[in-house]
Amino acid sequence: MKIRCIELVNFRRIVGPVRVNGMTDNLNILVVGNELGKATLLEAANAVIFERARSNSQRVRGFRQYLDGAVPEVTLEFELQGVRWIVNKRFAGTAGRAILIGPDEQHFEDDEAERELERLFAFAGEVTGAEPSIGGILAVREDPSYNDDLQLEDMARRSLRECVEAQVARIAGGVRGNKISGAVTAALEEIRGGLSGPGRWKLCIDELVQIDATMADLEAKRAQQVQDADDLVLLRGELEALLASWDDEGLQRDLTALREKRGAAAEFASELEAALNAAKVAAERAERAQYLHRERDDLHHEVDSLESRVSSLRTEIEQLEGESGDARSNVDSQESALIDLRERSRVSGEALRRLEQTRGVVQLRETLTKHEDALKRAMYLDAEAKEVQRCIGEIVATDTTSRRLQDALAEVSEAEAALSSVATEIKWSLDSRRVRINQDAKGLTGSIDITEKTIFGIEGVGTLTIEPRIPNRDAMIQRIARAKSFLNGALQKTGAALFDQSNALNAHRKDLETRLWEIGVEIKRLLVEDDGSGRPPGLEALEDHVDDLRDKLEDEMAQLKIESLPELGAIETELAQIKKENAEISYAIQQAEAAILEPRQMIEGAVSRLQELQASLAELSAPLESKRMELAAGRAIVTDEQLDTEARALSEEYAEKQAKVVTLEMGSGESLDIIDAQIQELEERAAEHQRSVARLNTDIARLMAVIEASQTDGVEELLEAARARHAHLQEIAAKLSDEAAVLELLSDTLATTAQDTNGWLLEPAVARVESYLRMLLPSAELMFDRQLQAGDITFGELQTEFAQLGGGLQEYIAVFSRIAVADLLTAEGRPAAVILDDTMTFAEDRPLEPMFDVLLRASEYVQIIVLTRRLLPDFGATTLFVEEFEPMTEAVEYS
Amino acid sequence: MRLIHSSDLQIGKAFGQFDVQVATQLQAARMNALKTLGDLAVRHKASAILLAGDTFDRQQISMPTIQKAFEQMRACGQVTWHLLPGNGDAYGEYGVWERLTAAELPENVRLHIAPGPVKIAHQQGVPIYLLPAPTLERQTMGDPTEYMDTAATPEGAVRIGLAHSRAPQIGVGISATSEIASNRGDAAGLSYLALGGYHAQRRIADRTWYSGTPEPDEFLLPVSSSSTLCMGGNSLLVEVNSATAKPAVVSLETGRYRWHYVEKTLNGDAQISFLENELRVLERDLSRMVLALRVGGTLSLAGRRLLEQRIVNSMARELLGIHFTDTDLVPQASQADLDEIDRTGFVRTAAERLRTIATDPENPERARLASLALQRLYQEHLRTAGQP
Repeated sequence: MKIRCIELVNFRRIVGPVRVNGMTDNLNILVVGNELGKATLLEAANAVIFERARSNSQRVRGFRQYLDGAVPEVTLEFELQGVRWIVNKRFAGTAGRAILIGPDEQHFEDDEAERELERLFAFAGEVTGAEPSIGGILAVREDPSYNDDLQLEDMARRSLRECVEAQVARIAGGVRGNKISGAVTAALEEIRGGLSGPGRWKLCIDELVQIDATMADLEAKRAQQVQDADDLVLLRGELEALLASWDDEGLQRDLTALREKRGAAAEFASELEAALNAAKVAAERAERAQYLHRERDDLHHEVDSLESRVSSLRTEIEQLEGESGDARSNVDSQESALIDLRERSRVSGEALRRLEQTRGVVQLRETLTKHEDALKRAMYLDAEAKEVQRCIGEIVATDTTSRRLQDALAEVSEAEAALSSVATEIKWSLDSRRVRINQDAKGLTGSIDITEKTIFGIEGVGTLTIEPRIPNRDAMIQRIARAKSFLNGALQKTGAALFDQSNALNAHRKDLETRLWEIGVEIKRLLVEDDGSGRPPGLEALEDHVDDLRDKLEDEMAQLKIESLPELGAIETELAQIKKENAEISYAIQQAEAAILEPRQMIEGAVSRLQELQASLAELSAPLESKRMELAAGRAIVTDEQLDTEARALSEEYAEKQAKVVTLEMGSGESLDIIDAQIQELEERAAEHQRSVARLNTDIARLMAVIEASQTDGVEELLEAARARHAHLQEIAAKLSDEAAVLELLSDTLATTAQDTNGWLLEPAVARVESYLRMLLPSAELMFDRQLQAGDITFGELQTEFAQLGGGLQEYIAVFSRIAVADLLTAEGRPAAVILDDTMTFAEDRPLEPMFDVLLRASEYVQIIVLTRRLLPDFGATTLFVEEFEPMTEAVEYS
Repeated sequence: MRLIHSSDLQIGKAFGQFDVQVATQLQAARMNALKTLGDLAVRHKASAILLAGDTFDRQQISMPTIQKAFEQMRACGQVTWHLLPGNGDAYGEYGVWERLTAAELPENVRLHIAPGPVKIAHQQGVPIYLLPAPTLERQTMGDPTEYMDTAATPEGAVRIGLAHSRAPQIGVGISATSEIASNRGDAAGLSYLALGGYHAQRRIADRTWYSGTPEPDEFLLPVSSSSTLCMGGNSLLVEVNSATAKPAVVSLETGRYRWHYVEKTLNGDAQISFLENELRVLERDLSRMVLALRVGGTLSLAGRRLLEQRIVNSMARELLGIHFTDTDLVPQASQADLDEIDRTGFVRTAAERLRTIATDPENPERARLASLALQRLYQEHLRTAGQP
């Protein structure tokens, strides 16, 4: 797409009519005064293609003239694939007008014109599927291209790729789109909840759960009310039946009869009781006499038994005392032998410990010797490494300098070849006349390439001035001079006179670096590893370690009081001998201890048994004596025969009394107990009836109170209200669920569309922007990470994080991104032109030439228009101005 | 004798389809209907008010609600209130009526929980009898007014029937379940039969009327009504001069709020303004209006937004309450809608994709969601552009 001319009337701050004409295919610099505004021009160019003339949208209403709201009108003349078009639009809402004039007298008006524009620029209704809809005019505005939604500090902006990605997204409508996506995400979070707290959905469901519980509670209450009412009916029926079945008068009659019967029975019972008492007294006396007789017999048997047990105890004690005396003398002799063996074991253990300490000191001496050898080797290697480092430091040549020298040589060759290719070759051949060229004498024959004004003098004939008209000759000569100057400078920096010499120095430097690495590896192997003492690794640490080992050896020899150390083998032999002796002594001790154990246990058992027997004897002696005295005293009062006679007489008396009681009982009727039980049964029935009536009355009263109290709550009213709220909340929950599904679909669609757009453009755009950056910053070297993302950028020896570069460079990327996208669109056969703001394009802190070089190169493929407030130096671009004009007619004519 | 005939006050109704504030006002209006009836009785010199059933919405009504209702009746001391159980508050053991019989009611309130003639007044020496037909159980079988044919009253007495039943002339929209004979008034020699159970006012015969509920409570249009005004909002002033004379019946407006049900199919954005005008002229005082609006048809995204702004948001603030249903309304994105969103860029592409999904007949649910998503995108776009 090439923009040729634009005319504006009443567009925002512009009253007009104004016009910009004569835009070329390549780079155009358009000087725009402050009173017009660069942004306005940009907006107008965009609007005349992309906005409908009859649109009532807020954007289009905003085009109206600021002063009096006059209807804006824009005319744009442009070329698409070599075909010229003119579009004219009056943005007057429904009264708006659009005219598009094309080749072969094609004329489109209003909707037809809009549709044709959509077709030509492939946007709006014509765009479907994954193809991104990106406009044909790609602009960089004065406002920073990384603003509120694209912050520099943002971690996502850290690499070139990500910067370009952000810009591509911006070109594809990212700023507003991201705001909409953000709003949709926020709305979704408001429903579903997130870090800020539970969402509306959760709150709604929580309340629904709460209402469910309330409803269940109320339902239960209502069910309870129904149950209470049913229970009340049952209780009332039960009470009625109970009262109907009760005969209180009959019960009272039965009670009176029973009480009279009880009076007669009570008299007979008192006579019987007297007879029973007499029999009881007789029985007690007979029993007492028999008891005394049995007690005398028992005492006699007890005394006999005690005397027999005392006699057998005394015999056993005498036998045990004899056996324990023999065992004690045997144990004494075995204990003496055991003491001797234990003393021998102690002396042998002492000797073993001293020998083991000596062996430790000998091992320490061997460790010291090994570390002293390592220290000597490491010190030697360290000195060598310093020497190699010094040599490397003296060589300036590097791979980078070699590449630069190669580039510089190539540039000199290319520059010279370029000049030679346009030179004019003059050959001469004279018989006798001498030739001078620019005062320098030449031979009779020869040839020369003429690239500049040259005076060709022939002796005696005159001079010929030859001046070839080579386009850009000065520039070519300057290019050769610059290239040579750069080559010389680069050679001087490497310290070599020639390119090959620089390469040789670079190779020598690499050999030295290899040796330095090998030394480093060997020293690292020799040095002390981190032993956990906190000591730093290195030569000094190794020296310290050797000193420590030496001090430790001296201390330990002093402790053992030895001046010289024996060989390790002799120590090991002596240690084995002593360990063997120790084992033999230990075995002998074990044997002696086992032999003495059994006699000791036997003595202890005998002593214990003896003590038990003596205690038993002492216990039995006292009761034996007491019983003997008791038996003697009893017999002195009543003899054994007298006791026997009395017991027999009292038993006969008891038998007589008992026979009289039996005779009386046989003459009695119902007993008092039976009559009392009958009376009690009747009284209990009456009491039970009273209790049942009272219980039923209480239950009925309680239930009536409960029913009355529960009715006061208005359970059904509350239940109805809860159900209504439940239904309302279910409706809300369904709406929220629906809204969430809608938002999710919207969010997904926005995300996939943005991804498709970015994906289509991103990779080729990154490659193009990188290429432009290399042109802009020839001394810069882009460093790539594993994902081929430009993570760092290098200026000479200064390496900088990409994200730390100034905003100016970031704005260059914004410019290059648009050029890259326009280039891509053009390559796809789609219309694209680039309009740039000079504030963004030509940062004041950087030279203009490199940027112009890039823009000129890019404008070979894409038309670029730079809007500027100031006049820029002539670097090969076409400079244009905004001019006022008088319109000839209202109609637009195709020219 | 003059009397006011009303029914179906449904005191205690919840109105759950509305927000709590609106529901509270509607409940208060039902309670206030008692005062309105009392005031009308005084103004028209009526000595009795007949409430023909369903005075209460449920059996288990809370005591404060019941007390509030009876305080309203007590306040109108010169009028006697005659209350009858209906099918919603049928008389049963331990129900609301048993509680009322046990409670200390105002002296000017009489409960009629058993069938049988009850003398309620004298007019120039002629006794006036009320013949109530209470609904004794929720599902009453048979005709509760049948006894009136044979119920004895003194010769020449004025007999007034009071029932909560379905007359054969009423087809749908009636809550009463027990059906009465169509000629009950004549057969039972009634001077007037006051019926309840149908929320609209309706003459069944010269001597038989449904009063309707004094305060509307549902979006139900009377049978064969061409208006948008829902049932209820009126009562009857009845003058009975003798046992045989035809009663004079006059309708009285009693409703505080007026309920309207409107169904509209919109086929173009221009119809939104017409709809708004149509709604605004339904009532002079919009704050008394409760509206059920059901819209269908097709609107552009801009039109859908306009409908939201003009009616669902703006006009709704002037109404007491609105129940808006738009499930049959299909938002259809126009070219202008999409251009308003954007003419280029990925947001426009996303809009185009949503429009494609929205017109996919293979997956109607996804199409519906896409259609709503497009509407949402339109709204979010305007919001990010600074428009509310």
